[in-house]
Amino acid sequence: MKWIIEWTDLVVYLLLIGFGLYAYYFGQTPEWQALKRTVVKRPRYLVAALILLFYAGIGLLDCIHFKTNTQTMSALDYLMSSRSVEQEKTYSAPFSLRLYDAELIKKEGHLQQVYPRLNFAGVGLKDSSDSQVIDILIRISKALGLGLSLTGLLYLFCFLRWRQYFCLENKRLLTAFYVTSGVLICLVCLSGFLMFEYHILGTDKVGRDVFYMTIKSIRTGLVLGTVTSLFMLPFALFFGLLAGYLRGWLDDLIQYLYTTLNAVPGVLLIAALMLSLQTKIETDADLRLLLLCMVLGLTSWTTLCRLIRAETFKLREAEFIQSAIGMGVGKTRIMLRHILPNLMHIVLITVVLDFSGLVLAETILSYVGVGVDPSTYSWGNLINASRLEMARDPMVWWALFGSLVTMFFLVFSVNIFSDAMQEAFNPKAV
Amino acid sequence: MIARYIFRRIWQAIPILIGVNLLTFFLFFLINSPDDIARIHLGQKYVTREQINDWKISHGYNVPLVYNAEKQGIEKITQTIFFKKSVKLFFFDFGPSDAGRDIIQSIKERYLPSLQVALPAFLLALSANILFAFCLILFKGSRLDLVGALVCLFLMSISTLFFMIVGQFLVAKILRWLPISGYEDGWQAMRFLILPICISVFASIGAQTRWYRALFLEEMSQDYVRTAIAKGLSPFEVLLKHVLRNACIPILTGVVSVLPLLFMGSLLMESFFSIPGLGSYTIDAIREQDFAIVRAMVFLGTELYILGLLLTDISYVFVDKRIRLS
Repeated sequence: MKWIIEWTDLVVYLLLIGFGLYAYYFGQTPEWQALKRTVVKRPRYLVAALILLFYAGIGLLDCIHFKTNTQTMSALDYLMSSRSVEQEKTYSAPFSLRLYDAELIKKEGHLQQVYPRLNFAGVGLKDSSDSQVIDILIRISKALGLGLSLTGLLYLFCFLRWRQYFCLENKRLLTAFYVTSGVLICLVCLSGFLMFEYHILGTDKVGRDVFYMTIKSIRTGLVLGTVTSLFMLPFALFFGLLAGYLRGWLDDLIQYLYTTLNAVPGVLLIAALMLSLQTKIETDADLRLLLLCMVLGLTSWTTLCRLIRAETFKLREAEFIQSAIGMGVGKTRIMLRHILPNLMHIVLITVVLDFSGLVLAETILSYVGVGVDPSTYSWGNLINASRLEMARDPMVWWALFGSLVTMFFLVFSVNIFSDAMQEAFNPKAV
Repeated sequence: MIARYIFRRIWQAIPILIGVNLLTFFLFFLINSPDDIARIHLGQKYVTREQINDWKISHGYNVPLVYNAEKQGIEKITQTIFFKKSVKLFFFDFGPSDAGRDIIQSIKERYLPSLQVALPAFLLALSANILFAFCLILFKGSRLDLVGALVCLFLMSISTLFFMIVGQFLVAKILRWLPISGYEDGWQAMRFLILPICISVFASIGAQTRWYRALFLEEMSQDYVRTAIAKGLSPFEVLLKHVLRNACIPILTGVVSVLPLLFMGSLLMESFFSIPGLGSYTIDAIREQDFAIVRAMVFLGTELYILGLLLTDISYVFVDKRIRLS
């Protein structure tokens, strides 16, 4: 086994290191303290934060790749072991033991319609629905038992060790914390007990496990949401600071630059960039994901740049900056040491708000045909495929359902979390 | 006075158009050479040199990029790809698409269906969302407000694509109230348009209602509202007479600036419900990698956007008498 780093992995690691450094150096600023206080102020913010952490955990597991002698796999693939490679013949419904479509099989000289057994679901089971239901129930109860006892352990641990750190003196907050973490733990246990024996969300057209695909899509969504901001931030910060602080012809030039980029309707600009750039890269799915992030970053830095420019404009006249100028501090130093930290709340709010928009935009871009590579697992690709599946008869709904639910909880939590940030950084607006 | 103002705004818009023009030229001709474009359309592999040259001649790509040394006089400039393909965009001369059809002709045929979907959807969404936001503000601080805000957040978190798939499935396939997709000329088009319009209105509720609500809230925190309440007006009157009127300006900015872009139609709705408008035209072009059409659409979109900005500036003057044309 050999550890390998794909391009997107590398960027994600860099992003994590950057965020860690940022939290280390700026973690004590009033903004961050306010954010921490706000998250433990309302139950819904706490729940959103926990769910986001859960998603981030899955995404990170999927960002650790290594090479075995046969194939490249991620830590998540390793945990879901067999589900990443096994393939049925074609569609099968959730928890089903048989294929969704009948096959014609010659039996004793007659052609007969048969629903063939699946190769990788309920292998040891006898062929009656009773035994299947009993088996599923047993598995569910085992999983719930394990999950609940783990939650109990967590409760004990927090109660004994962490109580004072959590500052969760509010009863409703404590309940929210334990219920959410309990539900998440139980979900992990349930999928652990069920996914190896059944296709929890059925299989797709070529027989791949849909549950596995939706879980794998989490990484694509997260990478798209975070890495795009990585590409966007340098442009927005650099140009915004320069334009706002130095003014003059530089300001005019930068304003012209972002007005021009802004003038092209969003999807068209993304499509034009993707169309012209995609011919230049090899057909590597991972690189294409990175390219998409870059293109999205290029098209979306303008809004943040404008905000930063305006705020720098305002800060420039503030007394502490004027006194720094009076003391003879250099321009670069003023911009980096005195203005930049005071812009961070705008940056954070914008990044979080953009994140949910980007995850949603991915589905639309996939539909238009300029999204991630068709071989990448992504919610956009899944939903796109399910467009045809819903039209077929009998319809196939599980891919749409699975991707919708996983995507919804991510975007919904991010949206709620961005509310928390607004409340923390900009209390007047709420 | 106003004529001079408009003239100056148009004058200011020209550098932006030049910028976008250069950008499209850079993307479509410098990053991808005409040879690349020819190869895409002829298939990636097994293409001979002659085939590429023939394709370039028949589509007018067989001249140098920016400077033609072989020609005389003015033709040194005009007989280039930059002039023939990029500069002519300024004069709405989009030329033929890579598939060979005249782009202007297609636009003329297709803008009407686009408008038929985009305009009613836009107006309905606007009025519905302002109404919803108004209701939420009316019950500010109550349960209803909180639930309404959460519902908006909920709707915001679902992809438009999902609304389209499920809407089409429920209304057209299960209930059979309306046709699944398609288009007809004249009044018959109504049947086909209702579903896409309704779905796009529904999909807009989350984000837009939230936006209008924030807007009204911002107005509500102003001093004049407190004064109005203090002098004894009912909250409803304050909302209707003062808040709505003052919130008009930001609403107007949003509305007027996107009005011209409605001409381009809705990319998603049109292609999903196979309505032969400009949106589906663009999507088809993107999928078939027809660079000529994409280039034309990018430029057209920019022109419409700038027109929108211009209209916004002018409309300010009519709404807010304090703004002077300087």
